[in-house]
Amino acid sequence: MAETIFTYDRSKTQTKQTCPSCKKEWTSRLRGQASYFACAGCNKLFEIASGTNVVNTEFKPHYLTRSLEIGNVGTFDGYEFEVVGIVFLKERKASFYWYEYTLFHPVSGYRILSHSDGHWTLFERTLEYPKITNSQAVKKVNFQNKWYDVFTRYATEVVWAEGEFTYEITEEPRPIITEWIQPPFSLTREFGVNSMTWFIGVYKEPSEIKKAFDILKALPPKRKVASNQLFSFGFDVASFAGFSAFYVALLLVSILLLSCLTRTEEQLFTKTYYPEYDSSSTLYKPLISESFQIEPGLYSTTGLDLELSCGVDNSWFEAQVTLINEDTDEEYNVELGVEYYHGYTGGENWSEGSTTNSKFVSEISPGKYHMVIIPYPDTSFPLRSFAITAIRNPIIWSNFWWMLLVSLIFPIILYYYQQSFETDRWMNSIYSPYD
Amino acid sequence: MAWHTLYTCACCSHTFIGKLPGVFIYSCAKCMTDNRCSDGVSSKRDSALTLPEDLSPLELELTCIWKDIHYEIIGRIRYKYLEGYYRNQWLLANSKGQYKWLLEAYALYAIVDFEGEKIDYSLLKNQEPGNLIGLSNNQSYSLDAISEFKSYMIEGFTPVMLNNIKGVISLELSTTKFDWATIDIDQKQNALVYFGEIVDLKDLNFNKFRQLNG
Repeated sequence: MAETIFTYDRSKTQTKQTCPSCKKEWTSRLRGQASYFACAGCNKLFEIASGTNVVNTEFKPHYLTRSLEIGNVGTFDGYEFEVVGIVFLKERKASFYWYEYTLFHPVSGYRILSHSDGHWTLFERTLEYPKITNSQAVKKVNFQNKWYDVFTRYATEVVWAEGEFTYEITEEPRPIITEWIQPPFSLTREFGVNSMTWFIGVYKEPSEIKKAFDILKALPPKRKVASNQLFSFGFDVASFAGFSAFYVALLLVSILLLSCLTRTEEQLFTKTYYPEYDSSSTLYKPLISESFQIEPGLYSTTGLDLELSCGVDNSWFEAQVTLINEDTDEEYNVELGVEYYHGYTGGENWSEGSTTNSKFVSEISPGKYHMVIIPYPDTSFPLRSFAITAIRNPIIWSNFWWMLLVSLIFPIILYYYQQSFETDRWMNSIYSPYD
Repeated sequence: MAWHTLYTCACCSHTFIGKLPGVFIYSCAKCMTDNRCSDGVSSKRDSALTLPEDLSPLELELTCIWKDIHYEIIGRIRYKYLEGYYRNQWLLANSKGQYKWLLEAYALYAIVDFEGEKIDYSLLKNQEPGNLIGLSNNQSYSLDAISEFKSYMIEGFTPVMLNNIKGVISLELSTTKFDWATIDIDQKQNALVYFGEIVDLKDLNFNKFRQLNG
């Protein structure tokens, strides 16, 4: 709304000024709003006063390349902000440096654009802030119905500055800055002797900065993880987690539904056998089952679950089962085995194995079948009987588990990557939950 | 009656209609001389400093609507603090002779009562930023800033309240519900609280803004 009736030609409101010390010409963009200016020629910070300006501080020369310069114009929230001040800051008691660009628009006011290790955050002063009354770093604060975690607490030193400022940037004692995060947001409180100011920041991708300032050159690449950087693979991770859960549930329901609607689990055959020993061959005699009919399944062929049950005890038993189509002589060979051991060792009971086992035979053509069963028992175990059961159209849970496993691979990788990302994020925080 | 009385500038003979009751200051739009006005008579007053270009989108004679009442900007006081900050106080008047202050500081705006209420100084002793202070309207305010006035500049119509500004401490307070209060404490520890509320400039429905085209 304001933009439609407010016109602003910054080229006509700017005035040329001369540094009282080095005589370098500079442009005043803030005019009467500025109380200090830092000259890029002599690196001196002046207090703007009527008459002569007063030297406040002198910085060491600064040779680092900056991504933005005084006078650059960037568009945020529909307003064209101009870079009016640059401060190169250092965290006191730490070797951590970053730039803060002061952006100005007459109607929208001021923003601070922070640039550190290739990461950008746009800060705006907020008059709405959490209800905490002391200057300490409260562990969690609630702001606009979101919980923010305390991340850091520090004071800064101004290493170098250029441009105009509305306040004394080198003021002593330095304000204590506390930062709480809820990526991509960052809530910052500056607690000075005479003032308390809150800022809300939002993480900006370098591509957003390039677009906002219409920058053609490449911006410095990201290094490390920023405090308020959003963990992202180019999509919303929370939505993806929700989608994965939905997918697994859908898979489960689909399999159950499909099984109920299209398949009927049917026991075709079951029989207990009492094998006889063949003294001539030192083997047990082959057994031949009664015939049974296998009806066509949903896709003509069908699946059969063959189950072996044998009361082995600290022993094993195997059976070679050949399923023979009596019309076509087509054969399906299955080896079934069970083993079960148990005992008492080291003061503890233990057991392993099972007395039942089954195998699934897929794509069996419909027809009349019988089975030829050759038993192979443990010679030390007196075999009395075993049972064979054939079930048509069993619910194939292995399919579900395989699909579940495959579908979970990416979320699991994502989870570990996120954990690693969060560990890196909190590496520079004294409040890290990962310590 | 000073209200709507015709005055003549004590310096350049420019005529103007008084827009404030009682005794007030008018900074002549023609010659920038400050006139002390009372009962239709104006006399030259020591001039305050000249207003700098501060790129405000507001100016005298703009009109706005606040809570369904039309106001006109009739004056401005621009305070400068020792800490380097400044604050514009635009004086809004409506046709019924009612007034409001529109505070402007770095694109933050608040509509504040014209008249201040006396407040017990003992409430304000040893207060620090971040402290909560209960005020007479039963609201609890957070103390955001403590500043000391350094100088002021005026334009248009302003009340006579600016004789001895040096040493005056100003407290800025707010609530999370966007209530605002400023408390001015003079050297004799007389304290006045001005209640108001933080506003968005677009909510004031200005007829237009100042055009910053040089």
